[in-house]
Amino acid sequence: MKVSELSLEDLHDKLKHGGLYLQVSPFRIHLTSRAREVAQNIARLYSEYSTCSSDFADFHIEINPPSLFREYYRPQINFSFDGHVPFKPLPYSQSFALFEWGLNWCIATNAHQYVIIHSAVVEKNGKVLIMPGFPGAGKSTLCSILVRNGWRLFSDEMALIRSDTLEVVPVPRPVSLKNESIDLIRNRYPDVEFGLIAEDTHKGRITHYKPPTSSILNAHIPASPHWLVFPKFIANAKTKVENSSKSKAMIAMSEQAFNSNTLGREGFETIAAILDQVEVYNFQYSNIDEAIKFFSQLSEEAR
Amino acid sequence: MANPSSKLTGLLTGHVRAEGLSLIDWDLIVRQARVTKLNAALWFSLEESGQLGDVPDLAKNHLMSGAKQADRIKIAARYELSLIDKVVKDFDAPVIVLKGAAYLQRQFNFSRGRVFSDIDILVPEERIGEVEKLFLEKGWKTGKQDPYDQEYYRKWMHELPPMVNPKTANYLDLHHSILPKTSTIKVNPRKLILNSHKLDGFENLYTFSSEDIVLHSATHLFHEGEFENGLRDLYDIYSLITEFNESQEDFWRRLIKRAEELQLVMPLSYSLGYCNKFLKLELPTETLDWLKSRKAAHRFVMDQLFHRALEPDHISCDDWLTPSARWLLYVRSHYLRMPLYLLIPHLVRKAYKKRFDESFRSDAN
Repeated sequence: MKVSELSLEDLHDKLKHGGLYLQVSPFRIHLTSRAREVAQNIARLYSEYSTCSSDFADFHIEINPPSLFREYYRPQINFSFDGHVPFKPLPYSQSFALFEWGLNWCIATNAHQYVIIHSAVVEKNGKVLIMPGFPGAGKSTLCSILVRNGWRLFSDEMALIRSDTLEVVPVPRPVSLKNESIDLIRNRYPDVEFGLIAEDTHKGRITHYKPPTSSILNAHIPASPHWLVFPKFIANAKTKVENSSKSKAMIAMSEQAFNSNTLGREGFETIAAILDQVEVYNFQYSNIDEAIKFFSQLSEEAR
Repeated sequence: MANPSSKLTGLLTGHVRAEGLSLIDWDLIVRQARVTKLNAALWFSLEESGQLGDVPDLAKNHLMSGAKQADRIKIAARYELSLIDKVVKDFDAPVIVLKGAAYLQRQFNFSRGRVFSDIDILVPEERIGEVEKLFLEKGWKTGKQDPYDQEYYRKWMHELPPMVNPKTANYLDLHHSILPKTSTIKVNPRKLILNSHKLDGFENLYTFSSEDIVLHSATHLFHEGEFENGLRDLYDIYSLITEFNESQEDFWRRLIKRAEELQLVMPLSYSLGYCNKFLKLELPTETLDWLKSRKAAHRFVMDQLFHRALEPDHISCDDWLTPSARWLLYVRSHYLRMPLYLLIPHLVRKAYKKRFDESFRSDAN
């Protein structure tokens, strides 16, 4: 059953009592929450996702106020992973963002069947583009724009790489945007469906938007990496593309791998093998149209 | 009393087979194993008995993740021990490796899935200052900077404030005994050191005798009140006894004799009782008789408490008494640890400081 088949009231009721079992490929999530904002955002942003059987979940997550008192007085919200609370509570208005951040944390600290690299990942014609997530890269913005120009969304946050096949496994989820990027995407693509906006988070003003339905429906199809691009957004700068050395890329990728320490040799060898098969570029940009053109050319050349 | 983790413990000990378990079973097994740090142990145990093929992929991923984390810890711990050995190689008294790192280095079968975060070593009390100095000279830093904490550890505890190796971020706990100085039970660490022997492959690292390793593990679990990993710690004791029994003649008798000698009968009898109850450890008739002859104080009450605390700290195992049981055991451990005239000011300060720290943090936010 699709989430969109549930009314908001039914969904909220399910989330409150017993929880919602959600297929967020490749994971099964069990989410419990009495926060109305969580129900509203799930209804809006996860409408195209399927519910799944309640016999097993990879992550049992609860998003609730720390106490009844804190539900009303200076309201706060807690993330709990199977009954254990790894973080300090946040203001209540960040309930849904906390779910998304918490789920990222669950995956990064538990799914060691993958080499996990902090990056935005999109795919076209069976070829995957990985953009590692250094601060100031603008990976989520670029990822959002590419997704509107014929690329399939794998993730705006992490590349899940199988070390046996070297394929990337999609984990399409609502895309997170912050500060100026929100207006940039909203103005450019007025039909994008946004969730509620959380003000004053540690990342500033943030929100999430609904990923394209086709990306969700094709989430079971992995693909091989073909490009590794290190984007850098510099205001008013000219578009500039240069080849990057693979040894530098190796260090950068290891830095951005969430579980390189846990996986040790397996992580190192997987990243090295990926680097053997991808083209690596440094890409500096400020003009969005020129960025779109660069990436379409990349994919045309590779056909 | 119900035993909500019986499938997990049964898989670990071979009393339950993986074949035929449902996904619902696996959901619970994975969650309980993860929370009590037994997921790697479960992976290696199923691998050894050739049952991994009977584990559904959904569950297997989580156990494998645990195994990968354990593999990483083992590499880091071996390296850290080699660094520690270099620091103490010319020190003229034995330096004894305790707990997780010792299990690993002695290549016990169960240590493949045993995860731990600190390295614990023990040296004679009168020499502990020298050893601390050796580490500080080689770049280790002392972890707790608060003067009260420093004094508390040094005056009353059986270990120094934890030190950290800044190059590897690994913690080192330097002990001079296995129980606090103020504890109601007194253990003479000299007796433990006398029976220790050298660890293969190192210049000056030692390990307790087999009996003493079991007794230390038992004392730690039933005297220190840390039950977050209670089932894991009980599984340690179970595995140690099982392995020693297979490789050594007459281990039971020596173990009990040694417990009486060191006056550690209480923790040993609890350990044997609960290994038998939770993990179906088979006890020889003689040992059972010894256990029965021991008149434990307040047996019914203690049983109610330990039974709850040894289950995984997971919602599936909790009943309405579980939180109070854990709390009472925490209080008990402090009561065993030090006399009330020392304990009360310490706990008051701890509670006050926690409050203060929390309000300080929330103001800063």
